[in-house]
Amino acid sequence: MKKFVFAIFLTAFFAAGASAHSVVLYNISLGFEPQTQALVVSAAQNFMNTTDMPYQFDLNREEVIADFPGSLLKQVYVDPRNGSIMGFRNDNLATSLSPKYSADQAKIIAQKVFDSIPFSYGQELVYGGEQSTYLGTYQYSWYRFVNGVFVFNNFLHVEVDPGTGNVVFWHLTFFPFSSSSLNTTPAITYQVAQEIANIEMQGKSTNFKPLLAIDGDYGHLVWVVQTKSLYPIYAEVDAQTGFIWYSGNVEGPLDPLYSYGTQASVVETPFIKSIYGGLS
Amino acid sequence: MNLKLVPVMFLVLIPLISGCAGNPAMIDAQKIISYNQHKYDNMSASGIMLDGVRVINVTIRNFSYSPDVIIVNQGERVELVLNAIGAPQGFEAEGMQMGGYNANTVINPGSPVTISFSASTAGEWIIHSPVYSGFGHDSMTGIFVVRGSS
Repeated sequence: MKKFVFAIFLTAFFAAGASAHSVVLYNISLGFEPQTQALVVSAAQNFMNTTDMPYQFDLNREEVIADFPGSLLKQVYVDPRNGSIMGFRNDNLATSLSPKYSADQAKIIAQKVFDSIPFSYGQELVYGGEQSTYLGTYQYSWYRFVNGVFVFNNFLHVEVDPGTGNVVFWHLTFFPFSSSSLNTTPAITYQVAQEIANIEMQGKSTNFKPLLAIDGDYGHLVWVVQTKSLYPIYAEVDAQTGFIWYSGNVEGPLDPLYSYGTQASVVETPFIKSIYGGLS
Repeated sequence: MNLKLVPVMFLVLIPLISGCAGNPAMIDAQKIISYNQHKYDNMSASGIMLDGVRVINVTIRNFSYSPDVIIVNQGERVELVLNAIGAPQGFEAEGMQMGGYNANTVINPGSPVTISFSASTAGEWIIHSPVYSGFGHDSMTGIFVVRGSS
């Protein structure tokens, strides 16, 4: 469950910060919608080519995960509206065989998954590199960008077993907000956002270079800054209002190569101008 | 040295020492923080006061809370009466302590759930439902505001 670290340091004053809420729920009930449950079960069983019944359902950003029994993770991500498959994981397909596929060869396999996803998703995803996982698989990631701004939690991940070339896992998230609905122009500078975080969290700036990003769950344009009191902590400061939406670890996977932010043009909105002008 | 100038110099030096005067970003940040601290000041608190307790009826349906902005004052005793309409629902102001309330409580239609607690900590918390009630769940949010007493 996506939990946040609430700003306990703000308790002396009115806290200008709130939590991000949970978008992952475990062991949900679908009993209230029998048709949806039947659709999810059928889609997941067909995909896994099994007649086993899922023992549990989870929710990940509106996708329903059907968990199948077994000692290792075996699950299917399903769009509950129409039963389309948004991903799966089957750790039974991960082996400890000596690698037969190089990272480049495995990338070709992962690319086939990317090529199979709807164009509406693929056109906004940018390849973000490969890394090894605890299972020994290669994980390839594609991240969503809108006008060059990174979107948290909108991605495609694909894992390939290097011993067999099996795809062990892939997951395409929903894109809850269309690109045209997302604002990518900040109204406050990263320096102001950094100071807001420093003041609110009673910390000091670190060497972390602020990033401009979009919270893919809620559509907020945020400055991701880091401040340090006892230890470094990240804050997502709304780039339109200065409100701290979240503090803690960076939420969701972040493209390790992403660095856009400090060079972004800032356009102060009438709202921000009114605050700077003395509205309180 | 003209001793009459000492107080004046002192007043000039204070902001310089505090680091604010030379940092426009910090000044703007302070203004934004101040705005956010007071943005609910002119709004009415939610619900009604009954025997010293702020009683607030909250209606929960797919996919909204009503009211979706709940405002109480720091130090008040609060009673939230949660009513689900149509489907089982949930209520959590994530990260906020609400007495002994279990955030995983399922609120069934026709069976209101009452939460009683003291609003001791000022702040804002996002309201959401830990109970899945259909596609659209993630859009089901609200804000619980405990307005500072200072």
